[in-house]
Amino acid sequence: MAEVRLPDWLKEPRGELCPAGKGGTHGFLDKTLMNISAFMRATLSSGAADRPGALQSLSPKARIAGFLFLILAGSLTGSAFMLIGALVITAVAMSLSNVSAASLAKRVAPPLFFTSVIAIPVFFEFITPGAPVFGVSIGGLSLSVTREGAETGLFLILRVGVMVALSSLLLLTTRQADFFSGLKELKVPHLFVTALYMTFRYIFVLLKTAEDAVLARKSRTIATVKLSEAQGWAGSRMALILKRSISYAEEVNMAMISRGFDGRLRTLRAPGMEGRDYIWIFLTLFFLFLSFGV
Amino acid sequence: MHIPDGYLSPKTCAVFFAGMLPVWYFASKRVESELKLKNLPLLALGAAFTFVIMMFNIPIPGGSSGHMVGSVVVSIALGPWAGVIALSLALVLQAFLFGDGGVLAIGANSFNMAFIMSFAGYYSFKMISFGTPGRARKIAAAAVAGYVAVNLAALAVGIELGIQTVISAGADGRPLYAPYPLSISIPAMMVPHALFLGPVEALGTALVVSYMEKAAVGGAAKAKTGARPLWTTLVILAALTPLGLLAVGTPWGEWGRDELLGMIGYVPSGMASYEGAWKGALPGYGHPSAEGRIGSAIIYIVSAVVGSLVAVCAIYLWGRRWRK
Repeated sequence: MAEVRLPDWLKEPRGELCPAGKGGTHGFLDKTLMNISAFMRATLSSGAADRPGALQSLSPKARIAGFLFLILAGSLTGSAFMLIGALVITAVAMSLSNVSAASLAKRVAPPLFFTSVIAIPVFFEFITPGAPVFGVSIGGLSLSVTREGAETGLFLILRVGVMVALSSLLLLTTRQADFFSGLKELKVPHLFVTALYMTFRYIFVLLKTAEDAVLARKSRTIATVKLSEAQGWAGSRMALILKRSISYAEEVNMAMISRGFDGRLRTLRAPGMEGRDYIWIFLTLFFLFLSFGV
Repeated sequence: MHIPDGYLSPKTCAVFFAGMLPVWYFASKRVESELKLKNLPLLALGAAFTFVIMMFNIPIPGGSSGHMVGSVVVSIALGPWAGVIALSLALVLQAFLFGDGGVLAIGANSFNMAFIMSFAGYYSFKMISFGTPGRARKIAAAAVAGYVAVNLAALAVGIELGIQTVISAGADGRPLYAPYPLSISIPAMMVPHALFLGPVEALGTALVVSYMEKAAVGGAAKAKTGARPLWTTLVILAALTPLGLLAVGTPWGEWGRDELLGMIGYVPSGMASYEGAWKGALPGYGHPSAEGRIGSAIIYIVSAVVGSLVAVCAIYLWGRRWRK
């Protein structure tokens, strides 16, 4: 059967279709809807995970283990050269796996921006004393950027960027089903993998409940409501979702018992390790061992 | 609140994984024995609920809105051990599938948001709502629990980030991970949580618990809780009393002759005539035989125990007499 994929334009958010409930005490409705739709877009579009590529052709077990080695190496090293090496590996793996730089950058940019903002004071003399490189004057207050401060700040930004890029590349090249089967193959306790899978499955059910509630409220709201009324509504919906969660849990439990469920998650049998999986594991382990020394 | 990879050293991450492993194991056993077969779907749906609640914006004064973590709501509804597991599941999924929080930092994030928040929130709620609380007290207890829990978790994050400069600096002394010392990292975490994110968590927790009360959902609907939390609070407070030994200076209003002279230039005549008339059995909570700081501390604690026992005996005797 031919594979059916959603066209990209269908995944893009459209403009303001429903202006009701915007601003004031209704802004929270829009924000909640935006949060939910952004999450759905990010999760339901498998992106590069379905395309053929070097990383996609690896077994899930080898792919997850290899990325964990690389992330650990990125955390262990104290050398900027090693981090740049990890960045080069990420770039090569990205291009060999048909992952666009834009999609990776979209995931890396927010934490990298956040870290860059946090790191700004580190560049200056009042946090990191050292040899001044250049001075800036802000409103009569002169501040000096030190060499030591610049090195410390840039190193932090580089490390966080590399580690986020690695975990994002794993995310972009791994289907959710592969992730769970990979965890199972890596001998993570089955109870834990099953609970994770069920969590993932029911996030969408509960999100649908939340989305329906917010949309219904938004579509019925014309005038501005009192803050206490809006807060009461938000609290009641959250309590409703909690109540639904507990009643779903009971229904799922009964369904599990009636079907003879033994607590083990059944996934498609993952293919065994092949030559390329061993090469990938060897390369990532080699990089990890290198990071111990520097 | 989610710490990304790169801010914590591998040894810090390893310590938190090692610390959380027995917690996860014990929590799963505890939940299994308490909830029997229901545990798996209940935990999974509890985790899914925390996921959803983090996306739910709550309107706050000024036309803005914020979202809550939700750990306290889950721990109140399902119990603290189930809360630990449910929150940890949500954090693992967020790290691996959604890139929120670091993969290596899962142990630390679980400690902060699953362990600290669940337990601090649950026991704060229980302590304030001991006995047979009315609806208002339960809601107030939930608000306090949410505020306390999120601020304690923020404090833990501040400490974890702040100690990196000490435990994981490079050979030249420069920080390799989170670059700010405790004097900066703790206020940086605490100020926004104390002023903005804490009140949002408190408001959200109180709102959800008030509707849980109405709809009789989860543990919040239980009408009566034991008085044990009150005793726990009192014992903790008593145990923390010797912390005063760390303080320097004289407590306000307990000035001696020399301090008064230094402050206002004279000693009031009434005070001058009565000062030293009665020195007490253990003057200044000390004893001439106690030498050094440790000796003084021991005598201070013994004084506190003796004083407490005398007070309890007096109250007991007064109570017996009053009953007659």
